[in-house]
Amino acid sequence: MTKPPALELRQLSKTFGSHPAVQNVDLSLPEGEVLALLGPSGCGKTTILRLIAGFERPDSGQVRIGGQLAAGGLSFTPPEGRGVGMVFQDYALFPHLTIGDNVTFGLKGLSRKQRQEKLGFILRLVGLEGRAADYPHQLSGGERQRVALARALVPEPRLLLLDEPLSSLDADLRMKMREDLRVLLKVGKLTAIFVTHDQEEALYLGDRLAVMNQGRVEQVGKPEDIFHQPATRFVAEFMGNSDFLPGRRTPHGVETELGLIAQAVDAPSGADVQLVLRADDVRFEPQAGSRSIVLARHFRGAMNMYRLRLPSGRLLHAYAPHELRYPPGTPVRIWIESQHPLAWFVSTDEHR
Amino acid sequence: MPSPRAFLLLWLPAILAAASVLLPVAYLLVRAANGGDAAWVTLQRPNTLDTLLRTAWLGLSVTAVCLLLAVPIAWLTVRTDLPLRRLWAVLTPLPLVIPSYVGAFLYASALGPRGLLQGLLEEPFGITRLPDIYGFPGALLVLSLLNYPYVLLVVRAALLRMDPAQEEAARSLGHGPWSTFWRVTFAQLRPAMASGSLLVVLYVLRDFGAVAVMRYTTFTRAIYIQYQSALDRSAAAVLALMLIVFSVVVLFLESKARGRVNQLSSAASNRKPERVPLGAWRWPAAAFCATVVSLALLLPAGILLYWLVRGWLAGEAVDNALGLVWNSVSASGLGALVVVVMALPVAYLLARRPSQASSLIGSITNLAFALPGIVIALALVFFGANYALPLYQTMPMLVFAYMILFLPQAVAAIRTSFQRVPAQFEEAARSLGSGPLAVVRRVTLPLLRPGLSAAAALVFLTAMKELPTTLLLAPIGFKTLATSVWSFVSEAFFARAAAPALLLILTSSVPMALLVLREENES
Repeated sequence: MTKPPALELRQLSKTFGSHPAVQNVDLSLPEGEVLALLGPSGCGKTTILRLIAGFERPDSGQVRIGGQLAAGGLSFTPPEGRGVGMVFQDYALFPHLTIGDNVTFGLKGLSRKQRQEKLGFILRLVGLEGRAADYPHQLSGGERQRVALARALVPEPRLLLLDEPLSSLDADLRMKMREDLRVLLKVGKLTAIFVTHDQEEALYLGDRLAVMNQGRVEQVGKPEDIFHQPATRFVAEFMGNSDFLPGRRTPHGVETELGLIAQAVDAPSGADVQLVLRADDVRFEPQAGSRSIVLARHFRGAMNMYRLRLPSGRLLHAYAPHELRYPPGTPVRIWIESQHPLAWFVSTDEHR
Repeated sequence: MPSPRAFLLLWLPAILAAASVLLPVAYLLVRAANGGDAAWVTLQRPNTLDTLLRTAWLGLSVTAVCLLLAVPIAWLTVRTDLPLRRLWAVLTPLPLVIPSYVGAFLYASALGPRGLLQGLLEEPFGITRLPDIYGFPGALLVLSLLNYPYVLLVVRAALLRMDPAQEEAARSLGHGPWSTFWRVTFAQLRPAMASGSLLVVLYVLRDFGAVAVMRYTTFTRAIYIQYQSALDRSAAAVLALMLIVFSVVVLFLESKARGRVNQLSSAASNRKPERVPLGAWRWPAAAFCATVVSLALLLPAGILLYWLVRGWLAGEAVDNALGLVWNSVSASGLGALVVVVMALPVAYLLARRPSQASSLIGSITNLAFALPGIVIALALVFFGANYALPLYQTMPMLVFAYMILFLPQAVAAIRTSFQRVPAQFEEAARSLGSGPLAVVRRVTLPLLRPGLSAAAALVFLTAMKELPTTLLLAPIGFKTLATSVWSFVSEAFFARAAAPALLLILTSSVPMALLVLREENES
């Protein structure tokens, strides 16, 4: 018999009033995996966490934790019976308790000595030795974050949920905490889901990504796959500054404003399609008389990012080495040179 | 050092305000010291110890009852699916508008010997004696039913501020609903409960009306009796000083508890907490709220109406009702104006010029919270009779007493509104070329106006109801609504007291209603 997944969601749905927050979500998480739940605000990702933790009841569908039914039909296990740890967005530390009492809040049936040992161990792990007697209001934002993490980890949950765990920190601290968190998750071989709207954070921390939009999971997969082979136009747009170039399917590829692009496209001949272009797929060089021009140059350190205008008025973005400088208005020739097959979508009216 | 102009316009008035607060205390000290042996004798009399114990016992009992009433109501109206939740939330704080002497006479006239209740019971059941309401039971009943809103408001606010994620965190850490309630929700309410309780104790210490009507001799009544007997005034001064010491201790504890409340509320949240379904307990819970509202609000209102109708049927004309209203409104209005003007520089220094000197002035004005009306009145009566005879029993003296009595309230209110107006506005105006006075006139005061009128309304409301100060210091023949209710009640003319009592509640509730409405509009 194979081991059941640490977490399984089956056709999970939840509606608030008339607003469908989560619609028919299927998701499976093997033990030891870190899944990043990514999407714009209001897409339902926090609701999914709350359904898993047991703070909300699903309207339909199932939540299974370690193979056991936690919610579904008439059955509902309350949060305290699920063994699921949660790190809240604003940490929700108990302001009336010390750090030590906060962290050991979830420990039960242990002697005083055992509690102290566990407390000492976890505080060392998160780098907060000697702070057990302080109160939450005496701590900095980063320290509070680590207390919240320690508190959720001490009872050794089967599954750890993190709701935008780094969003309340400022940029420098966020980078540092991101690395610490990754080490902690990997060393502890933790099974975890974290919610974020920051794609960089998701790419860095997640073994797999699930991209959500309007209550649905649009795509689940490895970060590289999601980045290079977005399943939907929404995923392509959300996962990093994509431009779309319309064209028509021909026997040899896609005929576009930039000429024929030799790319196999599994669409009927003559169909209108859109190619997904990122700045590293687009090349250009000055060419007198061309009707495409440079609109603007943005210095990005090692690279320059150029905004180009095609004769049709469509805009594309392209990287060029920083030593090449073209003033706005320079006529240029543009071509596509990609290391991987380009993603494409059949055009719909709204995107033409 | 402040510039001469700043000293003249800010520091001098603020120092004068602080000095006014110290005047009654200093005078009582002088008085007690001059009393010499007599003062010592007063202190050591067994009567004095009895008064102390009675006061403490009443304070503790009232606080216990207030907690038992207020904490469940606060939780039910904020966190549950209680039937008619909003209605109870609006009605339960309302007993605050009933002055204690009005409440006391209404309960006494209904529950006392040959009162309304006995009259109802005599005919069918032949009951001719009820348990005596006068003394401790009456004082406990009246003060609990009128003061529980202080605890209710503080605890409600704490519940509303609590981050709902706290309870979820406790649940996800393996604690069930009960354990979560006691260890997270209730545990975090404790500072708010402490703060509310100490406020109640402070009000019990200050109260004169209820204990006087119910004839239960706490400090305030003992002081009044000493004052009336007028044989030995240093005895009254000693009692007053003891009451001040007692109040200062409570005030100190309350400010510590409030500090803890503020500390806990640092993690504010926008999310509305989930409401707990009461299930089968819904109706008993609603019945509890209904009982409290009936006893504390509907019953006194009903009795008031009864006396009103009875007086009207008996052809009792209200003597000069308009004159009474005018006297009350003019004295309180004048008081409110003076208090706000004097509080303004103090609040400004506290909010904008934090320093040791300004916080000393702040602490001294805050001390007035621990000065009961009767104590200030007594000190000013002595002072006026001995040193300021032309002012004795004149309007300026009464307004001066109101100023001392209500200064801390006004300072707190105005200081809060200063803190809501960021100093950058003033700095922006300075950088645009306005001088300091022009900035005050063109920027600070206009932004502050809502806060100032709120402070004035608050003082007006409390001054309307203030009895002992008005009783002792009003010019001879100057009758207000409060003093005329008092004089009818002391002669047991309940039907005559009803009309001024009603007018008092109505006129003092109007500013209150305006305040509440404005706050609702703003939020």
